[in-house]
Amino acid sequence: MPSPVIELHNVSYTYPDGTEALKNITAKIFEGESVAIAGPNGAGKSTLLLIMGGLLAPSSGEVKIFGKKIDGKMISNVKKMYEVRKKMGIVFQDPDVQLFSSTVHDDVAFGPIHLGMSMDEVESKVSDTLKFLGLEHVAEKHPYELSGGEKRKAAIATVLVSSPDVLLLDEPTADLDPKSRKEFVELLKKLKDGGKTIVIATHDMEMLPEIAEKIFVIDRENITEGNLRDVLMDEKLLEEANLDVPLVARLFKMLESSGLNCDEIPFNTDGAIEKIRNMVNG
Amino acid sequence: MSKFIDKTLSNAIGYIQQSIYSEKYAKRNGLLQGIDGRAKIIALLFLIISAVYAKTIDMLLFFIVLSMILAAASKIPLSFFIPRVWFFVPLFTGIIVLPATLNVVTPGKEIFTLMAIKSWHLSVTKEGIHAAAILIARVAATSSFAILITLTTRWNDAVESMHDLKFPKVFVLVLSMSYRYIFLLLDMVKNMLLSRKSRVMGKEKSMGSWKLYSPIIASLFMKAFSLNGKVYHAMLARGFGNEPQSMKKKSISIKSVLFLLLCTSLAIAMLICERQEVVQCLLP
Ligand SMILES: Nc1ncnc2c1ncn2[C@@H]1O[C@H](COP(=O)(O)OP(=O)(O)OP(=O)(O)O)[C@@H](O)[C@H]1O
Ligand SMILES: [Mg+2]
Repeated sequence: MPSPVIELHNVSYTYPDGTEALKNITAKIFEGESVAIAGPNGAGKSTLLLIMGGLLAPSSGEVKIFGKKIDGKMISNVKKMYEVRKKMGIVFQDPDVQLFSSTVHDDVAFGPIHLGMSMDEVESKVSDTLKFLGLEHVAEKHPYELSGGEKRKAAIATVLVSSPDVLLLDEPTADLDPKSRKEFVELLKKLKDGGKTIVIATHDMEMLPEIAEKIFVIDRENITEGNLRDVLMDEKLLEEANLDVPLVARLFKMLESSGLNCDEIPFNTDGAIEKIRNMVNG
Repeated sequence: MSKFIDKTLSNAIGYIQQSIYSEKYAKRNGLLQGIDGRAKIIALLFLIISAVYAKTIDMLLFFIVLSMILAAASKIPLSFFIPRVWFFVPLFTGIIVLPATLNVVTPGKEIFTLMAIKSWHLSVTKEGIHAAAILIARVAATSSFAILITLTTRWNDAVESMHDLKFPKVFVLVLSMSYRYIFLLLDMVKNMLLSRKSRVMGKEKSMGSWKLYSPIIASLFMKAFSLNGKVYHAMLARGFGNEPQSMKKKSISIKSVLFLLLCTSLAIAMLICERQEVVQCLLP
């Protein structure tokens, strides 16, 4: 059994203005897992990621990251948090928050510099990452000059560059064009196969079957943990959480209700092709 | 009226964005653009200090002319440079300069009397005008050099140079962050104005339009405030607070060293001259 990387026990979080964003949430994320967090707007997904990333201290309850207990005092101690920060990368929902330097290059270099890499190492990592994401041509640009999708990619670059063990991603595919989105999904698959732990908050259900096995469906005080497949079959839960099933799955569900017998509903095109081929061949 | 406000606001925003942001002159290949940022900042700081201590008009005029020569050598049109300098002069000299011309502040040979009540009178003195002229010339000279730095240095180089020169880290960070976010905030204002415009049908009364601006300003502050907290999180997440490894040492070109030596020795020579009033002795 792999060890838990992030443990939340009865965690609640109330914003300073009194908004109760999370209430009594208990969840565990294990090493090497890829987990989706889904739920309607305002359900507390982003808040949950900030807590999991050790940036917000819970108002009540217990949070452990890499086995270390995280509270307000711990978070404000830069030295003690160093190990956590080094192993954890967070892509924020708003790229304008993520990109705070005056050029894309400097922004991508910020993490590696502050995590103690040598300048040569920083430069080579930065240029590799920019090249990998196809961002070399905007390296010297001000973040203000980028398109929405370029901003999103740059935000992703700022995190990938330090190759963290745990990735917390908040709506990383928003604004990406279909090709970039596909490439990003491929990248996530590769990272997952490389043993990284990935937590991804998203409304993009099409992408999930490709990368996540486990899903948390959250709505402030309810968190339902489940196998992705089971959750995608649970119409009632999906309905409550304003979620959709992938198009392919919807098609097969409709076929099934009109009498076609297919014992396992596929969630992506590859699965569907396989299924159809089997059915055609008898 | 409201149309006027809309227009001026968006024009002003556009102007700020373009002029600060375009780095149009910083990208040209002129004299100062080719000088290492660190050398340039130190050199011009020396000239500024020297100008601050200069006590004679001749010397200040020399500095002003020098700044113009540097501007021209850096491919900045004087028609752009000079108005910019003189835009700042009244900001800094402001109202101090007017009373300085009067006998109550600077006594001396009276040129003409503004007001006389019995034995008390208010008049402009020769020494007063001289003092005011020196003040104006000094502000013009110092702002000229300061403006030269900002016009010929790309923002990133400036930030990096300040970092290398061991300016306080927080100072550099605040400067570079405000540069990063001023555009975002300006953009927000522009977009809010646009979206407001798209929703306002027909003609609005000017009073109503004023009322519509206050929420825009309020929400701008709210956004700035919440951004601040979020950006801090984003920085923390990437290790902010740890001492960064020292930046790569860049070698300085001979041209930059020469420029630095020339400017600093000129500045120091001027300071010494001024102190010993050699200039007065040399001049017939
Ligand atoms: N800085 C804040 N101050 C006060 N309330 C906040 C703040 N940030 C979020 N909230 C509130 O907390 C709740 C949860 O917000 P959160 O951003 O975590 O939702 P989310 O699930 O990420 O939503 P979305 O899908 O829209 O991104 C919302 O009701 C929101 O209004
Ligand atoms: Mg969110």
